[in-house]
Amino acid sequence: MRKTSITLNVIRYLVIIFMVFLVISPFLWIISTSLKSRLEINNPEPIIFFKPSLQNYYDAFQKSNFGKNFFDSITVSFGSLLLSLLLGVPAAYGIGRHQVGGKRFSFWILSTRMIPPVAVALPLYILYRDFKLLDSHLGLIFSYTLFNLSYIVWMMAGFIREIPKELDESAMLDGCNVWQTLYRIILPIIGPGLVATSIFSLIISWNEFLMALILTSINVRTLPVAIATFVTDREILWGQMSAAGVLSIIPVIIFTMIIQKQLIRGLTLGAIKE
Amino acid sequence: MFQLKNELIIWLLVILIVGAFSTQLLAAEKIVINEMMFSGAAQEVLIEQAKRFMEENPDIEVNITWVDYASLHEKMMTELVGGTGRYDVMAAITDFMPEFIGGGYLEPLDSLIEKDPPEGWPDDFPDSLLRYQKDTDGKIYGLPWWDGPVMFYYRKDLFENPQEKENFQKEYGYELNPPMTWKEFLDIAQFFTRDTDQNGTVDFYGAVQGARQGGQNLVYDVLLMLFTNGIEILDENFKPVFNTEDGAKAIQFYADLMNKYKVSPQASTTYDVPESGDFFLNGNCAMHWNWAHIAGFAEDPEKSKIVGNCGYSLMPKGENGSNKSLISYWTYAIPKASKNKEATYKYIKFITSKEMDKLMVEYYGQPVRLSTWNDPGFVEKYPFFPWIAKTHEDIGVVPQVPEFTQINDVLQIAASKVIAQQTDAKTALDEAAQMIEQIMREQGYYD
Amino acid sequence: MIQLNKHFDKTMLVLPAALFLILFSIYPLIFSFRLVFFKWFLNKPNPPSFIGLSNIQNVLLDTRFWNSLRVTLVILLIAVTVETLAGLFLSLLFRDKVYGKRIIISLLMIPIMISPMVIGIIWRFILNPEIGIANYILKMIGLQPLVWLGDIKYALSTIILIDIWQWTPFMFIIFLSGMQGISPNLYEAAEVDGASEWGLIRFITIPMLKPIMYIGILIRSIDSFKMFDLVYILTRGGPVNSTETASLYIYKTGFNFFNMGKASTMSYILLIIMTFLIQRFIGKKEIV
Repeated sequence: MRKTSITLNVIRYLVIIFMVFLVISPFLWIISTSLKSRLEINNPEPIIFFKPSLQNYYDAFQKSNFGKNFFDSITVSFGSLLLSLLLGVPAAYGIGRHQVGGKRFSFWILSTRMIPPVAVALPLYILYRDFKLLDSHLGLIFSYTLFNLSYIVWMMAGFIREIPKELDESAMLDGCNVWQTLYRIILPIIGPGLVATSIFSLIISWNEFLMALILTSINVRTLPVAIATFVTDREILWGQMSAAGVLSIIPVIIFTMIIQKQLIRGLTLGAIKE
Repeated sequence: MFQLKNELIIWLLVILIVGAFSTQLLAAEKIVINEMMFSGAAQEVLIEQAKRFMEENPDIEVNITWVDYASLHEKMMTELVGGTGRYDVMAAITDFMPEFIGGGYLEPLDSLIEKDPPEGWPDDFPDSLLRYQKDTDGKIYGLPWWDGPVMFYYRKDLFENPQEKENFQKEYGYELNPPMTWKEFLDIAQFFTRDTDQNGTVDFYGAVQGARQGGQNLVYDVLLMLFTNGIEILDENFKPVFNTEDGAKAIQFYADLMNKYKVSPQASTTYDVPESGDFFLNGNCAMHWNWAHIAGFAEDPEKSKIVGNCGYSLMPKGENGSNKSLISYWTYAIPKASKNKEATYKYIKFITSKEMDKLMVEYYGQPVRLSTWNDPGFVEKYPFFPWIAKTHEDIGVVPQVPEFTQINDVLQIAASKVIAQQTDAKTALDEAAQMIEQIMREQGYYD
Repeated sequence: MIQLNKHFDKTMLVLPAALFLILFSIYPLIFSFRLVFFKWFLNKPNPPSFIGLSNIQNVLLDTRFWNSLRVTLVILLIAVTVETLAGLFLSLLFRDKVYGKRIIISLLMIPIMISPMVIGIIWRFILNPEIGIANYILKMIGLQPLVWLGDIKYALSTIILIDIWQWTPFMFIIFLSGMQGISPNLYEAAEVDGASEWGLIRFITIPMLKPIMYIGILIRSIDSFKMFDLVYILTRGGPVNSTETASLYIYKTGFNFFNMGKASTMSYILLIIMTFLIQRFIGKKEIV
């Protein structure tokens, strides 16, 4: 193992800790804000020591229907993930291993990610209106899949290319068709990569605002749209908004901590380059 | 493991899809009125009003969707244009009424009103609150619900303080009173801008402005500066007429408050209605102008540090102008595509009734009826009520054209440029006038 | 026979995805494309009317459009560059064993995971000139408080800083995972040959990270090009359009002014520029 001097190590850790602090201090601040009263928040000098209260959280729950917003966000995010995987993994296999459509097709898939959502919002609105997809979970799921599919195909194709060709060739020789090969051989190997890609996909859907605003109204309401309502016309309810923000962050953080190991491993599939 | 997760999700989806459609199936029992409303000051009182309506009308359910104010316009237009009939009633602000009415999206209420008029119709409503939800034919499209003239506020305690009065008299040669002109305003503002704790930075200002570009307020301030100097935006032929010498002076003055005279904090360029209001309510400046909710907020110990010290007055005027203020009020309108027009009308008639209007007051709301404003019990408890009526005597609105959003944008950018000291006011206004003229011409106004 | 079957099978692999994309992206694209040649104001009852190339001319002459492109590119170039360098630097710190690695990484990933809405709230509060902690800290160390988001001199830089804060962890993760793929044998062999610490980094680590770095840059660039959420919440494009990105201007044109013809035209021009730039970047690199 490489030996590094103690001083270097100490410096290293200091830098890391500093960076971590920079990154998370805004969140610490927002958590403390969520526990303060309105007058404490508005104080010109930031108050570090105060008596924490959960009033903001009660108010946030009362004013907006948080359980439902969570449910809607989860449904839409996971739903679109599922659809993207179902469509995307086979497509990735086709492109990555069998070069279906060649480079042209592959680039076209990537280009769908480049479309600014704002450009699609209105045509989608009209399309959905005619097909009764407005204000429905399915509608948002389709929109999010549209943006996530290219990412999933592209990343997974990259991983699949890393897998030695001999593996599927031998499977084919054993009489498997492409689907069986995909299912039995490829899938287990790219598992971690799948997890990694899925997580990023999930996050994008979870945090999306514009489409959710335009395409949903009554029956579906995701978290970002709900949180926005705390910026009212007369006052910004910092306390409640912080509480709502914290509540929407916690599941994400917990989730991250759990899957973190898979995430890193997955991004390179542990492929060791000699 | 992988399969199990898959299955679970599929089941979840199935349940969801069924659930999503079930609302359609179940709704057949009651008449459901869907309302779109912005979240904010009016939220609590509306919830209460809706609750009481449902108590009196058990066969009707009112379902309110809250939208954040900034996105309200987009959302409303998308729904109206889509013609989905998803919403039966919308809180339509008069700024956008010409757009909604002009597009033919709203249902005229005249026949419904004739059949079953609201209480005290039409005399219990001041004319200024009935004028702007009508189209050129005089058909009415909304019932007024929430008012909001811009009012002028000042720190009564400071203005009545004998020491301050003495010092002011000595320094400026006239008595300290709420300013009637912009000249007086400037004097007072400069007088009060101070470094009270002697640490080298000013911590108390004469005033504060809500000058954030992209927010809702900047255009209102521009209009106010022009109105109080006797200047209009468009003439009867829809041509811009605000880029006069007087107009330029007015806007320059507005920017100078921050830059040259420094009686308003630099941070005003990040302030919109909430932040500038909070600045005043936290006791950081001597004078302020803002919508009428400040009057109520000022007396609420949870929201204000100046309880009992808030005084009211009219907008100061320019040399050639008047103490004119600005109004922008909320009406309830019914989209043409609504499927429950009768029930919805019943609902909006209820929440604009005399009793409900009085209920507004309890929630620090902004009532619209003359009977409420003149109610003796209220006048005693809420001293600013007479001022609402007074403010209504000389009042203007934003240009009542569907192109208001674009005009708003142009005016805001012009004002921002002057504030950022990129150009002088005359150039900025000339540019703005040119752009507005182009916009109107594109829409066929000059043919 | 078997050959034909295989070919059909392979096509079937991509067919569902392709169909989906065609349905959901082609339709809107064609719809928008048509609108480029029409005058259609959503808030007026008039139906769309044909005006040929007027929209295109209008947009190409619109200084505000070019300004928004400038803003978008400035943000993109500065932010992505800094994020890449900072991410690289950070990942190099992790080359050796680090205690508490798991927790540290989880914490560092938080900004990426959070909704731009929430990010906006947090920063709007922190940067509030009166009650925000940023100015408080400035005052404490004797500097002048700034009007971060309201001062035309600083607004754009502030946005860029926030973007860097949010996305450096992303590049960090990208590099980190790239580093895991580098075999320790390579290092050992080089050390035996007498390579220095810096030499190892320069001649092994960095070159081997190049492929994944390109992927990271590509993803970030595409996303940065579309930047909307952050400026929508924090500045709405102000002051004086100094932070108005292309997406934001398109949004205003389409959803505030309801000028659908112009908005579609701008979307297309933006898309073309983006595609062109991305293609040049990808070039011969083996990432697509």
